[in-house]
Amino acid sequence: MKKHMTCDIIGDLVCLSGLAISPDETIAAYMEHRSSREDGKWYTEISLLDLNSLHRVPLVSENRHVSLSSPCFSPDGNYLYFLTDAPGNAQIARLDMQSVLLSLQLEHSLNTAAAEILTHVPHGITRFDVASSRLVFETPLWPEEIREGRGLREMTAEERAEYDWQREWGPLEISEIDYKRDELFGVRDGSVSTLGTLDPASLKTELIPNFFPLSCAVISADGRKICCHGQPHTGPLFSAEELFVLDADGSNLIQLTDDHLIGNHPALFTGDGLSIIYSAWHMEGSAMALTLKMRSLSSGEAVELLDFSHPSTPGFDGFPICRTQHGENQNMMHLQGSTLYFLCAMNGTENLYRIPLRACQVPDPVYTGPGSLHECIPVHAGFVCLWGDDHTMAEICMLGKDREIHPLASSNPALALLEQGEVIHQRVRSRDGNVVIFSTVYKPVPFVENRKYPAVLYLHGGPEVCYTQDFWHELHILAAAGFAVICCDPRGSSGYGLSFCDEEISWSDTAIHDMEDALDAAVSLGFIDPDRVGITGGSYGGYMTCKIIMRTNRFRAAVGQRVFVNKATSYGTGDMGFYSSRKKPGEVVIRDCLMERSRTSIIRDLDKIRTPLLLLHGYNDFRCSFEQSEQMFIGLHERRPEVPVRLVMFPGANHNVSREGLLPHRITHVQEMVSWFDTYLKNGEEERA
Amino acid sequence: MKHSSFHDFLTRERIACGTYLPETDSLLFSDSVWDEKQKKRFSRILLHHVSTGEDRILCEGSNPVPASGHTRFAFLQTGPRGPQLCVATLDGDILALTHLPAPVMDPQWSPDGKWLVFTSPAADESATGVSPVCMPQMGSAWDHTLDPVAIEDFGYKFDGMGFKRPSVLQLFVVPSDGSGEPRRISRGNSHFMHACFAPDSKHVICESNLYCDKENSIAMDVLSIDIHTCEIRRLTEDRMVVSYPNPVRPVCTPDGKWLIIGILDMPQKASHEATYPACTLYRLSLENGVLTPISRQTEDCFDTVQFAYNAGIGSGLEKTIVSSDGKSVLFCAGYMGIGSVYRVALDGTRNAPLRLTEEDYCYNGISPAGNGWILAARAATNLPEQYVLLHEQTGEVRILYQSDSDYLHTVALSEASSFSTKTLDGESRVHGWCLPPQEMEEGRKYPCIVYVHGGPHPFYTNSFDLEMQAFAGEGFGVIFCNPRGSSGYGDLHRTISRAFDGSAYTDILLFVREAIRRYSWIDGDRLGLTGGSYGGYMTNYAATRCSLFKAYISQRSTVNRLISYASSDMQGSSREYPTYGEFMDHEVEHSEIMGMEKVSAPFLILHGMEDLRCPVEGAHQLFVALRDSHAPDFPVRMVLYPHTPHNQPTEPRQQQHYYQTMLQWFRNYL
Repeated sequence: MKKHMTCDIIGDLVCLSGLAISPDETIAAYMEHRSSREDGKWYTEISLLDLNSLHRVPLVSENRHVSLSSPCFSPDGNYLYFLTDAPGNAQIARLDMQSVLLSLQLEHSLNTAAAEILTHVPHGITRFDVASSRLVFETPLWPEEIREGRGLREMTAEERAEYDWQREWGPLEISEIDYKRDELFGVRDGSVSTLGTLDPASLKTELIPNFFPLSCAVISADGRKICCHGQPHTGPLFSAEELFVLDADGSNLIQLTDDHLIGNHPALFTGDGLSIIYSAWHMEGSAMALTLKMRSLSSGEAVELLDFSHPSTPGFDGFPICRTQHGENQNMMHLQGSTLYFLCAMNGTENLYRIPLRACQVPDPVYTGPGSLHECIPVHAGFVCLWGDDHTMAEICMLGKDREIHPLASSNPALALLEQGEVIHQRVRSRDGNVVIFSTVYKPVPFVENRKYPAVLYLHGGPEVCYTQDFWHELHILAAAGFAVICCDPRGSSGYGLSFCDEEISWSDTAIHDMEDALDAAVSLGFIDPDRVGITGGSYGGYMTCKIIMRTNRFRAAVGQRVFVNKATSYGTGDMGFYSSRKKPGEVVIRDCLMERSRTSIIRDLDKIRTPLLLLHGYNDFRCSFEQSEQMFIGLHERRPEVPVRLVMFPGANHNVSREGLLPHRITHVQEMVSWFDTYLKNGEEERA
Repeated sequence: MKHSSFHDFLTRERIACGTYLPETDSLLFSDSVWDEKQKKRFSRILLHHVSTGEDRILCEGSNPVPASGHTRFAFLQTGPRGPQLCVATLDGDILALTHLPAPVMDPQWSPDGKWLVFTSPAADESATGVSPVCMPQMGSAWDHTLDPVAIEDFGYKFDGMGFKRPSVLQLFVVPSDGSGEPRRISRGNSHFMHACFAPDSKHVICESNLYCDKENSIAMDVLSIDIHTCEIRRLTEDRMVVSYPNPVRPVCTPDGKWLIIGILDMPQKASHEATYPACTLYRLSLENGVLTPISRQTEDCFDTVQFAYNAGIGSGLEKTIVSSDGKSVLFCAGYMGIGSVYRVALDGTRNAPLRLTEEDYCYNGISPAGNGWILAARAATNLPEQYVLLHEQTGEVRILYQSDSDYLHTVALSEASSFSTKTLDGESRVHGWCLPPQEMEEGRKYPCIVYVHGGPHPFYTNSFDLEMQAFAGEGFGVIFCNPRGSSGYGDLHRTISRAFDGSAYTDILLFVREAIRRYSWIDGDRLGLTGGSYGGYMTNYAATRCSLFKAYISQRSTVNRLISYASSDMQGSSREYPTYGEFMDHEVEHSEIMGMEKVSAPFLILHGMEDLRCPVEGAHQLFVALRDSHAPDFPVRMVLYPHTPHNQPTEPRQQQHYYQTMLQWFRNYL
């Protein structure tokens, strides 16, 4: 008999990312991210897989609390490059391929103690890219370190003590408006993301000093050009990135864009190194999606590769979010000859598409499910990919020429030993008849026919993100606790074409109607007790959760995760924008801005709440600030003392607490939710016959 | 002569916990001094022989408390998990009594010398009322400060203590001869503090919120605990025994008949805009439980506690004690901006309290010295803290110890002059001081800093203020006054609504105008405005309304009433509003943030990142609003201090950074 799934499973889940394939296509390398039950932190390891024998070996380090990450093969096939934390922070290291091949042959783990450490930057390397004749890397440096020539060596004991004091106790001096970011857990520390290069022959490293941050760098195959993102703006647009190209010796920095519209993904050089392909936002009215653009380095305008006039055109990426994941997905676009392959979530799956490198193409679908592709690299035999579905964590697979998924290895064998329920995909016609809402219903576990079960409607954040067929532990844990779980993508979600993803709709009643329609359709399946339904969601989903329980008492319990409810207090406390990015300074009248925010905040209707509410919030959330939950908690507890309300604060956690947070935070986050729904949806009642 | 500078904050001597030992004419106290090599302060316990002036260092440690008979003393020694309790003889034999996982605070002797009672935070194993968070089992490397915190009721955080874990201040007793382990005598998820032994050495008297609502965590009861059976007896009910921010430790008369306690004169109807009430001293019969007031408010004595903003003296001393003949009570109270010591008979006649001290000094903190004398701490605007003996009957004074005497004799300290001016509405007078720059040149004009105190109920005194002297040493004058809302000038002056309705604002402007009229050295075109907390509120308020000031520094200010409503540890109330929406609109409409686009002079924001009183979220909003509504070249700056609650930073490097930032701002723009 299979075991029951509980919150404890979260500590066993292994997330994969960062796929790399050797030039001869015989070896795959990828990262495995695990959480430690000792200190709760994430640690990363590298796995090597022989694509012929399917032998798999890990890269190991002397100390198990060292992360090894970002595997990358040299184009000549002589080295495996990676980052190692062994020197105290991440530095570039390499192993020769002979030792890699030998360990795979012997199926013996590969010790990294013999690896050559190639860099000695003071604060670690965050990213690198490899060409035959040169590597480019990124590292955070403080301007004075560059000035004083301290950028390429380790800190002395004295410098380390000073650095530690500054990080722990140093006053934060702030003059620019865009001074904090949720991703940084707060205020910028003054470091500047700086590029450097490494000659793999002489092992000489050099910095490319720049007065604004450069990041996300890729190097052309001939090692001559670097393409990167940069932040050349000041004031309210400081965070906005533009695309830059420069010579690998650091000269000839040229800004290629100036519209603050490029995407987060690294650009791609064409085979001849003369053009680049990059992602950028395509806007129509209040709808937006990522598109792909190509541009020659020498001259001319960028060409938009995707044709959005065609309704079946997906964008790029599509932002599938509700899945168990750690680390950025890479390999989301690849060039093979003159064919560009790329991934995008569309209609409930994350798919693979291809286009020729010409303007205004309607992409040709290569794989459209079932399941979701997280990363994908074309090889002769098909595509090596990371793929998951409703019941499977993303694993390394081969997408064959037969367009079928063939698993190559498993990092999560424990998952197969656990009981998982049936997952039903519903297509629900919206009440206005205009669209079809994609909805997923998780049956409770164990499931007995002809019984009615309590249910949870789980709303996603965003709103410009989507559910796809993929594994998300939270939904399975709720199902294993005896709840049916309903997730849907209301209008405003990405992944259903440009017109579906309209920002204005997502804050309107239409989005609420879509959610209700999906719930009603789930109830019509016959096993959900409509009187025992709870609601939850994070961020935008938390906003919607609060908004809905202020309008209806239909839900018997609610869990607001990192909610956004009061715009009069969120102004300036979160990191979500400024008036001066749209208006001239003299035109901003604080009274008008804040009174408008007060009048349009959903928390105004707080008095109407009768639904027991649990609030979960990270204390260092600088997107939807923690005080948003305090606004709900204090207001509700004071004005409606009869309504049960509980707030759980996660110290040090940011807006990503439930996804990337510390292990005990992620476990507590789900367990609190389960307990709350247990208390108010089960109420001691046995499941009704 | 030298001038003061902010570096003096590092090097100055700080004295605390003085007791006069009449048997040897000596003074037992702790002083903390700067170690230049290690770049940190350390605290030691000294015995100062008064007539010879000879000092003997007894040991490292703090908080010395002598046992009766004065041959032994208890003190705290710093350990890895906070201070722990020790007992030593005057010859230096040390006995460690505790090795607790939490810090030990506030040790007090039993009269028979056999026991010590102390306070220490303890995780409470009994039901807290809040269902604990569901935490998985973690390894030893897990940092428990990151444990999630569950909140189900008000009062879940407190400035300086953070988010309340299931940890409360509890009382422990320990035999003073080291013959036993410390034993907890209090219970429940409540605080127990301000303890003292009853004369029988068998009971401990203390304050506790054991029987109070969480919303009223400041109001406490007085309890008596049997140290052997741990049985708790409630001595007061439904009384607001004053425990914060100006606690009165209950004190027994030596004959064991009476207990002296301080109770707030609560208004009938509590509202969030209520003025903080005055305190009256009562005697409680330990025989029959009858409670009788012994003090009354007079023209000469407005209150029986003092809320001195910048006194900075008397650390570790008591505020209320019984005279050596057991017939009267001596207490510290503020009068017209002056910290004073009063005496009142405890026979229940409610005669007017008699002020014992002169107006040239600010007194704050007293302790019994025997034979008709008490020890008192005092200072003046140009005189750092000194310990004196004060005669209980005549007010005669004998100086025991002058702290920072080298500093006093080598630095050209400025003396503040005081005056008062009528308020615009004629309702009161504003009293305050002007501190001129050190060694001012005749005929020259100087920039001036107007410094507004926090609260608004505390009041500025004529005490020694190192920060103001440092500004004076750097060539600035400092103007400081007690506008409406300040205590120590009677009930009408203290009315809280006057602090927020513009009255206090005009009081300050009138006082500044009068200062400019009186003193030709003040350059009226180079005035800066600053203050912390309520002073920060006033800085924000003034910055959107007047053009008198050429630079602002807003310290730990309130910004948006809605943020304070939910995120301050002193949460607000919306109950007067029929709907939450109306409450919101009203709070936002009346918030200091309104009109920030009108600020026309350079504006600096300083805030502690762990400020839970005036939440740091307000500082974020204030900075963004100022930046958002001004041209990019308009000088606006914010500096946030990690690990700093609702006060100026105390970590030495942070503290220096803080004052240098202030100094540079005023230098640049004044």
